[in-house]
Amino acid sequence: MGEPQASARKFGLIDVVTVAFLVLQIGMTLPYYLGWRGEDERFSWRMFSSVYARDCRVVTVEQRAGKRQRVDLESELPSAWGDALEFARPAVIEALLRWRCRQGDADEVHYVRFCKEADGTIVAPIRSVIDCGNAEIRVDGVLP
Amino acid sequence: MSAWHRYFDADVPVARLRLFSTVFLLLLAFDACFVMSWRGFAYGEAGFNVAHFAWLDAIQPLPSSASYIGLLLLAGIVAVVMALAGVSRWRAITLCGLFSYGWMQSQLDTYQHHYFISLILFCLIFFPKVDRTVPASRRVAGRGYALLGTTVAVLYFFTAIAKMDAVWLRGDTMRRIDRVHGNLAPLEEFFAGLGVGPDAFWSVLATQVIPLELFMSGAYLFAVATRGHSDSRTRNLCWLALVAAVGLHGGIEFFGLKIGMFSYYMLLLAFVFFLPTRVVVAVAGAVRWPVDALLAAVGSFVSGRAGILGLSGVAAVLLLGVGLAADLPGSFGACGLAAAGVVVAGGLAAGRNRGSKPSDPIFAAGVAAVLLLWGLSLSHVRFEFYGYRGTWLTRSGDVAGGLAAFEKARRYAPPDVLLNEQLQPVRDLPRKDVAPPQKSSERLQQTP
Repeated sequence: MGEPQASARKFGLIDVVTVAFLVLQIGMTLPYYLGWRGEDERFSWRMFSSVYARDCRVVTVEQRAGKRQRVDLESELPSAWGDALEFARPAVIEALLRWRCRQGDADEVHYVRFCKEADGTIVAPIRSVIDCGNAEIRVDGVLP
Repeated sequence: MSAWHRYFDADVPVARLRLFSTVFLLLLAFDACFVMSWRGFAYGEAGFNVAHFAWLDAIQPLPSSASYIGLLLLAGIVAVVMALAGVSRWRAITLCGLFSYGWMQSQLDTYQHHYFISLILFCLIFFPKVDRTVPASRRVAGRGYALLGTTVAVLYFFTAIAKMDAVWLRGDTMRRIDRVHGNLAPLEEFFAGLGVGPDAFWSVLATQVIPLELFMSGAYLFAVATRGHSDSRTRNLCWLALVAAVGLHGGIEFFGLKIGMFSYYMLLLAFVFFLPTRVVVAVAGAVRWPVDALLAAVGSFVSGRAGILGLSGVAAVLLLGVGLAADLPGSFGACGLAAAGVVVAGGLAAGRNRGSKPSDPIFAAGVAAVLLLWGLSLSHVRFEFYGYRGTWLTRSGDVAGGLAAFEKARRYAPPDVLLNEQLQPVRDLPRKDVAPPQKSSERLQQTP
């Protein structure tokens, strides 16, 4: 085989698209490693990560007239949403809380996630609560 | 001549593009239709969905099982057409759009490698359209190939960086993941016999992945940059990279650390980028010969306007029939759209009475229909879709709907699965904690 046969070219549209594509890839991934996305590992190429290996459970509670009642999420949502809820993705948590407000007459809806690392270390719980009256969401604990 | 253009625009043998596009697109069709589609049972249920991007949530309607499955089946059909009839820019753009929207529309799809497939499909847009009669050893513009290799290098780089945390380096993550199947236990015992304790075993096993992935990243960049070279240094490094890729991804598959079909895609990429050209030419020839021979035979048999229109009609009828027979939400819509596309393509080709081998994509669409129905009959897609759907409906209180779904699941159940025992409690006294149907597939265990 001989040397590569590259034709002489100026920097054109295809090169702009190439650069944009590579910048997009890196731009989708780098924010996670710069700490801008918390635990949201989407697009970070973290497969089999320590976050993925955690043992987590989610508790959702509704409050009505001062009384709290646990929500049986398995009968309210397909179990396939379990992963996204356990990963504490902010958009999913927010959507869950707003959706739950729309479903019934709760005053507040609470989301709490408990996790243990793969080595057994307890991870600080993540809590979010929505006031169904004014639709404001408070996040306690470590932001995901 | 700038280094940029030497890297991105150097020529590449047709064989590498042809082998990659054919096998990758067939894998993708299989993945979309038979691995991903059954998960559509949860889409849009309870009126709840969250897309991967806020802007998409703002504009898209609530997804449904039908829209998700239909999208994937249509993507699968387009992928088969491209695999057999060749990559063209507009087909690649269509497939990239279909598949990407498929995973973007909901965070129910948690597989990162689906995002990676979208990146690959974008690279395919820049693959040159090469007639099937062009010799495999001929060299063509390599922009798409260089972009693809660079994308893979970026992936490996970040997967290496991703593992640089204390929990991974201690081996705790791998140890916990292995608890599901225990496939690494024999290896752990072997090394224990050599005096290597479990902590050291898991730590070394986990740590060695990092330099391996960094090496793979560099190897892809090197393979792209030296694709016109055949010196011994290049050859040796490529062989080393191939062995490393087989070891890494083969090991992942063998020990049950599955992420869908990710390993198969990565192994294919390694073969295409690191095998010597003469080997790739031979393999591509072997893969393409039956396909090209069949296309050539059909092309010579079907000639003129009447022939093209007739072939379009047959392919469209096949697609519609498969859409009805598939018995999945969205299957008829997807096949109907594909059938409409085939009719339009046939009409345009017949009307223009020109174009290179107009029968190829039309015949390929008919083959896609047959493969889809055959694959559905062999796979567990319908069993798993209706089984999971039945479980969800029953738990949500729709006992009648759940029972109907379970009855359908039973129709498609593998021979070793007995559903009657699970169905009886649902029939007699529905409870919210009724167990899902027993499954013979292990695919459901792993999610990233």
